[in-house]
Amino acid sequence: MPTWLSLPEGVSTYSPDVDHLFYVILAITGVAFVLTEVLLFAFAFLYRQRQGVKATYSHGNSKVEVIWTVVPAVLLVFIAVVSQSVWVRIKGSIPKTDEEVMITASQFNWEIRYRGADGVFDTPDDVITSNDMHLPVGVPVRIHLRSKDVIHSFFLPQFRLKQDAVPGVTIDVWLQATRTGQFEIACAELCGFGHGTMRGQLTVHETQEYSTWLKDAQAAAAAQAGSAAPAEQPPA
Amino acid sequence: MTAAGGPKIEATSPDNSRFATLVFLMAGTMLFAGLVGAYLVLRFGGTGFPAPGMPALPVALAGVSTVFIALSSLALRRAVRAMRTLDAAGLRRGLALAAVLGLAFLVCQAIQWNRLVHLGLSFTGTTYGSVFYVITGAHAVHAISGVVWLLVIAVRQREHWVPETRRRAIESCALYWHFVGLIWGALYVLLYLV
Amino acid sequence: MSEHKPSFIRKYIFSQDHKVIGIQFLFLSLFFMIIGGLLAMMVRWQLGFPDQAMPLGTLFPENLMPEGHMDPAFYNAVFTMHASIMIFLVIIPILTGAFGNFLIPLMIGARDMAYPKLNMLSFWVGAAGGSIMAASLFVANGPAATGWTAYPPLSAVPEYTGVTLGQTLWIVSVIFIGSASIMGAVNYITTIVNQRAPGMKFFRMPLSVWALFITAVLQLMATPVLASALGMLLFDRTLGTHFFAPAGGGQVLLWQHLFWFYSHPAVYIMILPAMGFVSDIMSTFSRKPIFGYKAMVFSIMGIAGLGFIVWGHHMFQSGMNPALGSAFMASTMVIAVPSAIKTFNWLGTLWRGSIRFNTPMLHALAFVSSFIIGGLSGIFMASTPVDIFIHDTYFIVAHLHYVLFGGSLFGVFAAITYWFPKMFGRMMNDSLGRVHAVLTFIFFNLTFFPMHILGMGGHMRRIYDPTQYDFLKPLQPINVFISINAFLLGATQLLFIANFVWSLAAGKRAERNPWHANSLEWVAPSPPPHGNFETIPTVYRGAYEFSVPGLADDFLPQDRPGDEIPHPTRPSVLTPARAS
Ligand code: HEA
Ligand code: HEA
Ligand code: CUA
Ligand SMILES: [Cu+2]
Repeated sequence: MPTWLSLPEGVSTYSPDVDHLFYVILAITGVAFVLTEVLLFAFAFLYRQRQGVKATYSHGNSKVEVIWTVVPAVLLVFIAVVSQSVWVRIKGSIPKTDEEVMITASQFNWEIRYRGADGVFDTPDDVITSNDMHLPVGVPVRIHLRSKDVIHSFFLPQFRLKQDAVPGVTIDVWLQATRTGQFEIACAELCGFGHGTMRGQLTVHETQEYSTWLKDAQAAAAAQAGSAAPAEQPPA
Repeated sequence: MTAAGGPKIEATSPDNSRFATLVFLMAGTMLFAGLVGAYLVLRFGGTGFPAPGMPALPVALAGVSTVFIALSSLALRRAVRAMRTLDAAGLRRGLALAAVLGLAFLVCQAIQWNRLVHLGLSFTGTTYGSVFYVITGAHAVHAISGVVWLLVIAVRQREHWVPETRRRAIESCALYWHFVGLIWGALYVLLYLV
Repeated sequence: MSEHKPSFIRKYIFSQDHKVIGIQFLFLSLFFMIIGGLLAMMVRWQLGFPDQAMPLGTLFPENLMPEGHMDPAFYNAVFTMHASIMIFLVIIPILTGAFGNFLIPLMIGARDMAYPKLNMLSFWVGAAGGSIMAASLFVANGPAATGWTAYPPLSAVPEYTGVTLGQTLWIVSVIFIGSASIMGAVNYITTIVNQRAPGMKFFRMPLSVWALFITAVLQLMATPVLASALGMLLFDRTLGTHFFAPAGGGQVLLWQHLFWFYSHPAVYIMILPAMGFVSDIMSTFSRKPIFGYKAMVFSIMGIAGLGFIVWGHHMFQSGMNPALGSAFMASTMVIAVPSAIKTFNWLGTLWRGSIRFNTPMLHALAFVSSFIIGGLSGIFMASTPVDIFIHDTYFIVAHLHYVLFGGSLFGVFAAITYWFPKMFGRMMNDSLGRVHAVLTFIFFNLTFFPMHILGMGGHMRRIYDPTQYDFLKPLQPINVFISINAFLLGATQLLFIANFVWSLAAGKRAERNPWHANSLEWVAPSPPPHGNFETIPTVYRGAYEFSVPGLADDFLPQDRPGDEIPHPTRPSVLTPARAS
């Protein structure tokens, strides 16, 4: 099957679950689709007006009504149940981890914060980058999402991760990368004229590589904080 | 309109006005449902009401409003009963009394807003204030139109009998006015007591 | 009916005749459909050829289209107005305004609506709303640019978009249009409940009337809630309140809850009437009773009822409590069942029919075919985890066009071509109509089906230049393909416009009952005079007695006295005693 006919490569631990669910639904709806469309066109063809053939006089049949009420109902309940288990796995509880990132969306960029040596966010020694996110592979990462102005939506297509960033609240999401590489961060919620270009970079490193990157960044930030004025504070 | 074109059409019920009014009032109910929904979200989703530093709502004064509008509804009920028993004088008295009590309700509301504003509860300052004024304001608008309607009918009603069209107008107006009263009752409980 | 001839103004402009008002709604909406469609063409140009100047683009002011290249802010305005116009000024007014008005009294055997004046008022309030929306296209700083969903804070604070008056006018316009629908709804409900002709029992009403009836209830219950939200948004914008502004203690998600509490029922407002029309049309052209009439009625009610408890499925990724998400997923799955019932009953209606493929029937078949696809794609989004990925992607755009264009608009085309003879006393050109129907169906699918693939690729909606993203670059050829077909789709509509206009002027005269249908509107002359019927008909049966065994004709109008013909299945219905 051509690549654009399948979902893009998934690189988070839960992306296989989401994709699998997608294909399950695709299979069920696919059957429903073929069945109904084939019947539709077949009937249209078979029962076209023909000389001397009169339409059958029938107001319906309660037996078939029951069948085509119950069967879809069962299938739909099945879909709901399967979906629920995946939903709980993703949204139910965030795995314990001490890798944490604070992302603050604003028109029109992603401010990415890492804690400094003090181990708390929103302090002068925070590591702050703009649209440039770095994560280690293979460990769960907790992401605190917030927004300064309007609603944005933090979207990592290959990670099957999307979450609106809502002003006034901090929403936590998580991911665990399954391979290193460069990925794009997109904004998925209309947030103004810059919405279409509110783009960021995510680099997933080997754990070692990542910690050295963080160390250097923290050192730089600390030095910077020591000398210059404290980093600007986000909204309360 | 509907009665035209031979007797057959009579087979459908001729009196639409009370039914249509009820239907219309369902829409009114949903309007307040929306506002009350917003109120609940803002109240229980946020810091809670009254907002810090803001005055509490005058339960007693609003209670007086409530009494007025309740009495007004009663007066109107007696007016309608009078109409049904063909007591024209009673009808006029009832209508006038209902209208006056309605006015009294509105005056009370005005006094209340005025007091709150002086206590520093502005429309824009806090969502506590905003949602309060929006809800009571929306209700007041309904009340004003109700009072005007009552007055118009009361003034028009001079004869010792009631023309069919006005009979329907009165029936509808009564439904509408009871609705305004009921909504206020619910709002009083929700905004002031709970 | 009084015999004096009313003046032109009273007859055609400020008319209280439900038929004239319906036709006024129709013309107004078709006009807006062209505007909405042209806006769509602009959207497609920008998405297909982001780095090329748009043809005629230089006709636009420099600030909107520098050298004919669409400015990002202007792009937002374009698709916002496209959607707002198509939903608030095309589909809803045509389905409920035009056909609700024209059909209800005729189909239930009444002389007019219960409240002709209110009816006229409803049109003029709606027209005012439309004019305000149209005017907002030309005000300084452009029209609304926050999507048809107008999420605050973006829509609440002018600084965030740079749009000032435009957004405010949008709010006011929607309030007007909403009030118009409420007035209409009150009228429709009262009329259907109180004005039915003798013998027109509820369960003898055509499904079109049932659908319009339930739709009116939806409008009545849902629109006021939107009005309350719009009011608060207006205050936030103009008076400085903070209902939706967290800084001032407001709740951002409050808008989304109130908006979708209206707008989900609204999407069923936009499909139920079409479902009703299609049911009647399919039965007529299959010369066969509708399959499972009662099941159809109850599933309309089911869809409407459940429609009020699924709104959260638009908010799965909004930060709403995930547990709530699960609840809304459950209710959303359930609401698919009544739609399934309807789909299968349509198939059952075709089964062993004697199908004529006139233009209305082709559109009806296109409706069913597209609605199935649009409905099934809804199931993907209803599944919360899948929605994480496809939310706010072109998968949603594909879904909504399959249900709104493939559903609602094909329903509208079917209805227009079916009732045109009754409305204007002339037939539309059937051959041209069939060409339009087939081409529209083809280009419609070529335009919107590939959007599913874009969505699967993660292609976000509401972005003005897909090539900005590396992961979307490979998909750009699909965008080009879509755009080309969109232009062809748009151009195809010129056939419809031509056929419509030409038939109005020169179509061949229509007799009373050109399609040999059973419902009461075909008893009246074409076009029906003021007052509709010479004498109010008496109804003896439902509207679907086609191909009754032992009858010469293959149809049996609702008003033909029944006692003379034998009736195997339901004799009781036919005795006049039970009838009136
Ligand atoms: C006419 C309008 C219309 C209709 C009828 C529907 C019908 C449905 N819609 Fe749709 N929807 C919209 C208009 C409509 N929608 C619009 C405009 C949006 C976008 C709003 C925006 O953000 O701009 C939207 C968005 C939307 C979302 C939000 C997506 C997102 O933003 O992330 C969801 C999620 O659940 C959804 C679900 C559904 C479902 C389950 C149905 C169901 O009613 C469909 C039921 C029908 C079927 C299922 C097909 C027939 C049945 C069978 C063939 C039987 C066999 C089937 C099975 C066994 C599965 N819709
Ligand atoms: C009933 C509703 C309806 C209808 C009929 C349409 C019709 C069309 N829509 Fe619409 N659309 C919406 C409702 C509708 N849309 C909604 C609700 C949204 C969401 C907006 C949002 O995100 O807020 C949307 C968004 C939307 C987008 C996504 C924009 C984005 O997210 O960035 C796109 C992109 O391709 C699109 C394209 C089209 C096209 C090509 C048509 C075509 O079918 C149009 C075809 C033209 C006609 C039917 C009219 C006839 C036109 C003419 C006669 C003109 C002459 C022709 C030429 C000059 C070629 N629409
Ligand atoms: Cu930020 Cu869209
Ligand atoms: Cu919905």
